[in-house]
Amino acid sequence: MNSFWPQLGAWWASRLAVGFGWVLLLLLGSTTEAWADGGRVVLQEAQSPVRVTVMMDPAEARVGWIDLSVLVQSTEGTEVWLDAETEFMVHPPKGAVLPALDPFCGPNGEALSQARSVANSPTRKYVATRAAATNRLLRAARVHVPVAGEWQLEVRVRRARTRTVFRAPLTVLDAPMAHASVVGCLALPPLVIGLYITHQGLRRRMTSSS
Amino acid sequence: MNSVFEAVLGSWNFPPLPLLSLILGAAVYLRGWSRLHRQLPERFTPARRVSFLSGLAVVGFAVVSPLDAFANLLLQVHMVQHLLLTMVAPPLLLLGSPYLPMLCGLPRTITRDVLGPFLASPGLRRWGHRLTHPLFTGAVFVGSNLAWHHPFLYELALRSRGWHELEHLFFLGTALLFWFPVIQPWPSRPIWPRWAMIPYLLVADLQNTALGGFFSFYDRVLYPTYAAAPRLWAFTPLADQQAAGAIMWVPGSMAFLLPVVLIVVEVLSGPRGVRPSDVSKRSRTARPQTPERPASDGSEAWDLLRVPRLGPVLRSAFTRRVVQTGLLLLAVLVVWDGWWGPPISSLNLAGILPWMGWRGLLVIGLLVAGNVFCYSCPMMWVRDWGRRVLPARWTWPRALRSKWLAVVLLALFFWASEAFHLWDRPAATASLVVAYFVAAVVIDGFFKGASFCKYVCPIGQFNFAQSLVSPLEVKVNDAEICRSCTTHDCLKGNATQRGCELELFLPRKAGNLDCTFCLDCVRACPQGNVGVLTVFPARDATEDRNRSSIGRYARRLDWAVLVAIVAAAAWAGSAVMIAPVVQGLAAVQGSWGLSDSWLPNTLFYLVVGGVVLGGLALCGEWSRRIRPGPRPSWRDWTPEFVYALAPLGLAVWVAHYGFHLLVGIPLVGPSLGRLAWDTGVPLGTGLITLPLAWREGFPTLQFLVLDVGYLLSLWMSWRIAWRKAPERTRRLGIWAPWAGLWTLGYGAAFWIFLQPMQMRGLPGQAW
Repeated sequence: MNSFWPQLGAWWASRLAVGFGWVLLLLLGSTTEAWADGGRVVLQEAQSPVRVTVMMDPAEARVGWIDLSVLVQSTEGTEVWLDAETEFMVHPPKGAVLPALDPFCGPNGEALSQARSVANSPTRKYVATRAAATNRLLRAARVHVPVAGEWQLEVRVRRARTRTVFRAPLTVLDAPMAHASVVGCLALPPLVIGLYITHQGLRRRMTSSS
Repeated sequence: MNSVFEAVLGSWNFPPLPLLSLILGAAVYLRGWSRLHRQLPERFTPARRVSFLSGLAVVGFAVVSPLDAFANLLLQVHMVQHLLLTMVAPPLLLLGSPYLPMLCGLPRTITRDVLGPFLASPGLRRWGHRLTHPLFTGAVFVGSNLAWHHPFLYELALRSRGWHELEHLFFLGTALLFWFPVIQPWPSRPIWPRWAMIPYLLVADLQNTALGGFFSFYDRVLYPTYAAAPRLWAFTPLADQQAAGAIMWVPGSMAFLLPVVLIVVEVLSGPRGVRPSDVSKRSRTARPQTPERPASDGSEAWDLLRVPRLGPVLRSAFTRRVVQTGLLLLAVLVVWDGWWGPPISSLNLAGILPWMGWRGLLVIGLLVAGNVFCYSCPMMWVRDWGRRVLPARWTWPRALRSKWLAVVLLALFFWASEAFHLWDRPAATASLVVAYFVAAVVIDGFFKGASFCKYVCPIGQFNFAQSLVSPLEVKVNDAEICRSCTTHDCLKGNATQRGCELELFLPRKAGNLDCTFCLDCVRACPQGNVGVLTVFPARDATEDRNRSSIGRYARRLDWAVLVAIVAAAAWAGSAVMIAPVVQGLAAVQGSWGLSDSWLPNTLFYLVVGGVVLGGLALCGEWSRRIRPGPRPSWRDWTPEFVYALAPLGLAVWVAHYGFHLLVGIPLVGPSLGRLAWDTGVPLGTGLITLPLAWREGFPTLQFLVLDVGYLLSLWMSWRIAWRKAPERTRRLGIWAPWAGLWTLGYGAAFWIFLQPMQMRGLPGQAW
């Protein structure tokens, strides 16, 4: 019995390690497109028979990408409608000049999909899907807002023969300074150098005391 | 199953970084546990391992399961998540006695050389002692719990992903500290007597009960986010808050009271009951009893070729042929499409595969493994075939047995690709690929050995220079076995297997220079004593020794210039992609009335090359003057330091080519589809999509890679300076100019990658 446990332990250890490796590969390969669901509620409205709650992450929209997710319920909020097809339309501020969509460097051929949907229009359309949402009660899409200003968000919900449209303003702020997002990376070398100096000092002290 | 219920159960999220950390933690623990279990089976039982892994699994469940997905909508779900992080996972983790297994599970170099001085420092041990004192752990746990439940901080966490992650880290960290004196994982010693844990837990429970009661009985909604959240399953915000309070109150209290009961039984029954005087005496002299480290399993380094199943596959010559054949087919496609496909690089495989895909994979391979491209080089396949026809018996001219020819060819290649926009000319790219194959066949068809690889191939020289930083190296496992070897098959070969064609004698081989990772030596060694071993990146280049076929780095000016040229091209190649440089060059072109940009581009490359080479020469001269004693010649002194530029150079290449790779992947599908369509096989033209998170996280990754490269360059030059000057002040003086130069290079690279990249040759502009 005494020799059994160690053997079993080694057997399990190797199996577990291999298993963990596989789990990692599987999980890393299955990231959803949207980063997070929920966030700040930007629209909550009921128009019989539908109630929608639209949430945005980050809490303040800035030039670039935002996550929009929507929960479609019955007006009373007692029932979640998973089969309601939902689209986000974003209308840019009046007079805003949008940069041309880049078919190749743009994310995942966004220009190609936009060209099919709303050719020659500044409005952009995004289909919200459950696959893109982490919380599968919601539908989500990542939406690109390339300029700052007062955008208009339009949510189109279609279920069976019912079509409902909701609208809400969407304030988009200027993009954060690129430098702000890399401060951590700039701080890393001094931190590591500090640790290295401490390390060398401790090592020298160890050597001299021994 | 109800579809809503199904949707709830399907709401899993898999954030890569936390998962990676958990799995890495599990792997390190398992490695350490299995070593310690052999030595101390009564201490490190299978139950401890199960406990630790369960703790990790609970943490993983809390952050990836539907609990996380619903935490923003329902406070009660959020509360369950927090309870798992504070009440369930920490005790399980600590019951696994993780201190020693985690230390033993790390590579010995890290434990001994990196962590050793910190762990042995009396000052830091004192801090550790204070950190685990029950007064501190109790206060910090209660304080953190109260602070994070204040509406201001809680709302902050609900609205920002970063704050939310920090909140979870705080909960987990302070809970680990809190449970530490209760569990007292081996080999730590108690500071307070065992019975004192009873009031300790009861005080914590009091706070928990008070907070749970407050949530349950407060008549207003505490957190505005939950007040505005959509209502699920008819829960009003207040009812949700009351349910959260009840969860905190009842199961939370049980998590405190159950250990109280166990400790009471334990104290009353005696075995672990200790007199306070004994404890206080012991606590003053307590030292973790580190068991003697288990004997090493042989070599300290890890051998890739000894990995079960994978090792034999990698070792096999057949595997190499298969990989080479795959790349050869791709090369054929590139040539075909380059010559007969559309002349638009973004639609042509000759524009996408070599310039956007292959270059990125090549540098990433060098960074994370080694010279994997030379291993899979399709030209060697063709060359071996050509040698059956051609004589291959001449000796490579003595005058050309250095890297100077390769330096010139590589510099020409870098210059031509930019000056003549080869990346935007599919037909020229295809011709270049064919010329490459022809050169390999002709040179190696007439000359002995791998003369093309060793003295001519510019790609090979690039790989050699950058593999100074690679973490894998082909080397002998056991030097003793080589001492008794008389046949030297690794160099000379035998009846069934050729030896090293690049004249590297394995017992004296050090580092990756001139090694193509062909693994011929591995297959030739009759003792099976050659492997692909892990090494500390770039350390080899800081040591002065005589290497097989290379000699001493300090005497190889040609190698040093090669490293410098590769690095200079890294900066120049990235800089010509950013708006300020593109606009500046266009302005020069316009003001000079030129119809083509080759002259401004050429001048730009010359300037960058001149600045880098001039900077290196100046630093060499400056640091040479500081050296004590007789002054060495500039030529003997400078080259060694130049190798320290390799990590920073590779980091710039990875940041640059990684960008091309990321941009290029989505284009592979349409291009292949277009090629198939052109040849009458309609395969479709679907885009390959990447998770957007990858693209958004890429800039941070670029800067992190730059950080690592910069730090490695600083460290390398410091080690070289250390060797050259025994006095500390002189050593600093020698190192300072190099450190200054690397800092300038790092700053320049940082600025370059802060600018939007311009994908020239493609419709559309910045990313």
